[in-house]
Amino acid sequence: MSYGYVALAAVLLICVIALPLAVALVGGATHYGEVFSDRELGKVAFNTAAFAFASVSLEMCLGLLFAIVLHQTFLLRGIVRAIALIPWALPTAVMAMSWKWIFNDSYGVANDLAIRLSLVGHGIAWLGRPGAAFAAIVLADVWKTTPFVTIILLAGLQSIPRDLYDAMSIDGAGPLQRFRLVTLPLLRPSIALALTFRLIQAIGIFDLVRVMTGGGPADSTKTVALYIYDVLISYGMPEYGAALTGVVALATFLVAATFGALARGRARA
Amino acid sequence: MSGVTLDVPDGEILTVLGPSGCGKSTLLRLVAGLDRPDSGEITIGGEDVTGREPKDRDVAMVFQSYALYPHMKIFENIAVALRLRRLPREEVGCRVAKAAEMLGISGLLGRYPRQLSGGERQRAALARAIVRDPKAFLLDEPLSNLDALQRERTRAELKTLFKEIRATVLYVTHDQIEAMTLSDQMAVMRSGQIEQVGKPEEIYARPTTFFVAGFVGSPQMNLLPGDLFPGGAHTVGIRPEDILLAPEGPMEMGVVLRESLGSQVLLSLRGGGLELKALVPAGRPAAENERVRLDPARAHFFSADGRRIDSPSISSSAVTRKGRDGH
Repeated sequence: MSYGYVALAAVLLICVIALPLAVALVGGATHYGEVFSDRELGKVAFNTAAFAFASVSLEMCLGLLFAIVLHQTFLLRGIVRAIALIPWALPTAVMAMSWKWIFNDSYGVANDLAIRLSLVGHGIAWLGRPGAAFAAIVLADVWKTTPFVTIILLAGLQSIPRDLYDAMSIDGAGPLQRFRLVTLPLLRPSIALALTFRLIQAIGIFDLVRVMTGGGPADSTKTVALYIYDVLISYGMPEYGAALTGVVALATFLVAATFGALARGRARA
Repeated sequence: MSGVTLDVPDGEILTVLGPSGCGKSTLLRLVAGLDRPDSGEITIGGEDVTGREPKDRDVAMVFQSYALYPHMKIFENIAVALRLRRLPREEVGCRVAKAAEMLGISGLLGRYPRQLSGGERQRAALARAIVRDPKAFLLDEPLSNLDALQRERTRAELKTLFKEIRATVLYVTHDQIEAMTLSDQMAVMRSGQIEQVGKPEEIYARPTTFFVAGFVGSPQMNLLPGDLFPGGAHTVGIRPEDILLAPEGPMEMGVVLRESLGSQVLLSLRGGGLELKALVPAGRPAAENERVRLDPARAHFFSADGRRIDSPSISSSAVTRKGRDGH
């Protein structure tokens, strides 16, 4: 009797996951060879890796810093914690539009500030220069997703018993040693979790880049997801797109799992 | 907490006994340096440590939760304090081994805390404290997470251990049996104030306040209206073992309940507007009624503000219920 319900769910899963996956794998089967000789893929993979490395490492560092600050007791802590989450709660496309305006060369806030502070003499076309465009995208992503890392690490910090810090103080540790000997090791599971999620999201980044630069200038910010979109929609090659997606998904999984496991490290013992 | 003055003599165990929330844990945290006092001073081994960090006070603490570092093996847990003091590796190994041996956990050094039983963790926490050879030990309810049997055994072992290493110990507990059995000196605390300090047997024999009278001793002392005896006391306390049951007793009371404690029986008695508990030998035959005599020489008298009255003008003759009714 109860198996009936499971069967229903199983049929549903087969229809929406297993069948499309099988079709994609079989359909793309003849194209897997092409994936590994695709020069453009190599280029966008490099862009994606650079973006993921830059944004995720900045987010992890800032997220840890913010989590530690928000873990302290201070006036209006609840409100400050809520405010800190706002960037993450915004829809990416909307906040990407805002950042695009901020970095607009003629009427953006970024140039206005830079000129007033005399950092530059005239406006910079932030999104029109390869290096600057990359930096702008990283900055926007860090602004948006640091709160996500913060909240996971804050939850991790809150789960560390106060007694352990007291015991470590009495054992002779100062604040830095307590951080190294208590906080960091006990935070490892949370760090691993945040890192895994962030890597998967960063490697698959699409909407932010699509809105801010469209992959430009000259494909310098084009990520793997944007490339797959082009292959599928612009170039009209669904089978190659399927093969590409399969390989990228597997690679994403491997990278995230590897780094996640490294971060978790000894905590598994 | 205010007006608390306590002195733990070298090599002695002083327990602080009190109900939960009385400030005894705060007292311990102040001595450890985990919390700072608004005023007053704390000296350890003759040195004023009031302004010092916990690490510069040379004290070791055992927590109720044990506070073992979950990501470190037991060896590391015990060694970490020595490593933080940059002791040479051989000495660290040697001292950890010795501490572990004293507590019988030599075989567990390679394990993580979660792989240990409650009793083993407790020993590991103690080993971490004694390995430092600190000037003072601070223990915060260290036995309360153990089952009754383990607690009794560990209690005795603790006392032996501390006497062996001549430790100066400040021990906080809400368990009066622990306090009575472990202490050289015992302090009873209530609402942030010390009610009485003294040897356990002194406190038991001569509680100086009404609160101490009711808090120390199990089963609890009978606390009765002061007008049972002349002399103007507000309250009279008589321990259950000091209630005399005798055929010539002037008061007749009904036995409401018999609770066997093994070698003794605790009787709940009711009659003449009073309720009493009396502790009698187990051999005493059960009866529906008992005749009771209250001996003023075995009673404790307290004034309305809860202080002990040492020599109320009481006639030596026992007062009867009838006498009281005659008022």
